[in-house]
Amino acid sequence: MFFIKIFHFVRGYVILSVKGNNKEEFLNELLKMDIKPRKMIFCDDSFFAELDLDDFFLLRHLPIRARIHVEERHGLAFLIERLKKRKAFLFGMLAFVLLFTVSSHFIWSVEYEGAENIDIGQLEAAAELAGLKPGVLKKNLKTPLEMKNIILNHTDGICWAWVYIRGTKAVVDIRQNIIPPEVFDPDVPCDIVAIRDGVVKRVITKRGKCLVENGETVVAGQTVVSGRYDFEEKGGYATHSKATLELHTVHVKRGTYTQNYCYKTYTGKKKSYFTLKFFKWEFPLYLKKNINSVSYDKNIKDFDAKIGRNNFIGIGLRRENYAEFQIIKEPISRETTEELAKRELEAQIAKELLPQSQKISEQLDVKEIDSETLQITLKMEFIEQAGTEREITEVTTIEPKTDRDTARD
Amino acid sequence: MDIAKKISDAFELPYDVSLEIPKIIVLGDKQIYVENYLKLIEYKSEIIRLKYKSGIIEISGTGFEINAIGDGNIILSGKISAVKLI
Repeated sequence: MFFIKIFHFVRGYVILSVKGNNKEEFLNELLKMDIKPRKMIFCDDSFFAELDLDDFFLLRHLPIRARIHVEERHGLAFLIERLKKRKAFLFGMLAFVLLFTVSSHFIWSVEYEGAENIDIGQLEAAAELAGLKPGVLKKNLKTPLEMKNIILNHTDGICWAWVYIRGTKAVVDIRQNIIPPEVFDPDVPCDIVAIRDGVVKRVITKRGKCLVENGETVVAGQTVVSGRYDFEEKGGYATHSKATLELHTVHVKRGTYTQNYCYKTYTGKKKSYFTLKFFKWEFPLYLKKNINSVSYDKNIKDFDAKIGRNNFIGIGLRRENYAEFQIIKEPISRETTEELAKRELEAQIAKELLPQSQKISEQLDVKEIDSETLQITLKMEFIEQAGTEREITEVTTIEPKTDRDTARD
Repeated sequence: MDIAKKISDAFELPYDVSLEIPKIIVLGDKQIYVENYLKLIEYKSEIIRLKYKSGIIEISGTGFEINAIGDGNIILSGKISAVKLI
């Protein structure tokens, strides 16, 4: 429907009113001449219809005399005719078309996709080194392959990159390196060491020499199962140890909590500041930011003038919204405070735990500092699989004893 | 006419093609589609009269509007109360 309207607009059309008693005859004659009127509205003594401009000029050959009056003129031809009189407007329109045509040959924005844990400053510098920055002529850009190589060589932590040019926007699509888990070579000699302090609950040794006993206290980094074997007669050698170490560990977290529940509420005071983006320049549409509040949320939104989805024409508006809020404190009971504190402390402990940990016990100690403040301590005991492999770098080889040494002894 | 009708019957041709009689499709009381009429005789918002080969179709109702009109066919909408073949 939209395209049909465009088609009619380009061809030009008029809205006619036909008055008189023989308006039905007029319509019949139109149809005989293969002229198809549109949007017909009949009133008591007249009728209105829309006719293409070409068909309108055929009306002079109509055998019927009717009182035809052109009510409205629409279409490109009439628009141009009208604009001929408004020279400044026509000039402005032509300037806009020219500006748009010229501006579409430049890159006006560079976006980065897939850069989540990458130093964006380094990536931007690499893109700039590859000749990719706002305001650069599209024609002068390097080939995507060249840009890719420059970006890859000058950015750490990425394994793939490509540059897509979408209208006036350049999109740098990157893929970050995924570091694979460290794989221990079974031929590399290693010890099993404790990751953290604790009391040995059980050690299941599959290969190596167990150095601790159940119930013994170990500290982080202490060797639990050794891969070194020293023999007086045959010298020493090292092997790849394999064992499971179960440690009884204790985690303690402490915090001070007030018997209040705090939440954020917006006061309704808002301030917006606009900045005009004109190609690669930015012009603030305010003299200075006057934000009286200390607590506020900031929200930035860009309104870019685009043709289609990606053709940013270089002109846009940036809105910075500042919404004031205040923190409301509401008194809560001691039990609720303890419950909330426990949840928070549990979450802190959970971050420290090793995989496959089993909880044995927990204890919550509450100490009242003043009428509103509590010091809460959470103590949790776990069985954790806390053994890890540590490579043996130096093997002290003992020379085997000779017969002469034995005789000397 | 009789010969044309006989031929139509013999070859099972639709009458609207062979006999040039109007084909009228009425959609409830909302819209009416007339094909094979010759010319528009009268048009008012309450009554529309169309001439066909052997008579007149009179459509009465209220608020008639022409949705589309072409050579021999017309689509009207409004509140239709009666269709008469005179």
